[in-house]
Amino acid sequence: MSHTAVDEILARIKELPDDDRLVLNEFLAQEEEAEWHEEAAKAREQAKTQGIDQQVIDRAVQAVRYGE
Amino acid sequence: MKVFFDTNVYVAEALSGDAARRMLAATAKAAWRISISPYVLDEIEQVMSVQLGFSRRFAFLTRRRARRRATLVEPGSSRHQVPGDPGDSPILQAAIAASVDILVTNDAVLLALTPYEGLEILSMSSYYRLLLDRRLLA
Repeated sequence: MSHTAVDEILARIKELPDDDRLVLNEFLAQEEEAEWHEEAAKAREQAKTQGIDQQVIDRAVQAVRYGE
Repeated sequence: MKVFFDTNVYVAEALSGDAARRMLAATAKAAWRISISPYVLDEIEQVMSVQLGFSRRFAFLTRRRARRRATLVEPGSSRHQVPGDPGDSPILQAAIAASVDILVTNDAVLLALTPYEGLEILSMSSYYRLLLDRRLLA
């Protein structure tokens, strides 16, 4: 999609009345939720294969938090 | 009841734990208010993509999903510091700023502070048991 087309869509979104914008936001949130579930199913298989459990996750958080 | 979940809970929900999924769902179903901070949102993305190697898109979606379910709290300057562990201070400060009742974390240094000025700091397994005791988990 070209930048022009995206700009046109964004301009039309800005012109939407509040009620329609809420409907759009709800639709986009549902789309994201569906995509997250698809990605999560794949990621959990990958995590299982790689041995990523709660302890590994806790250590990863510590590593990011302390720049290890 | 108001709850603040540390980064590891959201990452576990996305990647591994049925327990994390169930505790977040039960918290929402009980209509307990969940708070989150920009610090945790940033950490979710960094832990998932940079540290654990999952796609940036999935990390971004997980961040957005966490944000959708929570009230954003942006703590300003704060006197609350975690002694000897400054990396944990933003978590404590956000939980205090949000006036939550419970902070859920697996960070040992934070857990050692409980109770902290009315804030109960629980491990994921302790919070899970709390939900079970209150019959909020099936």
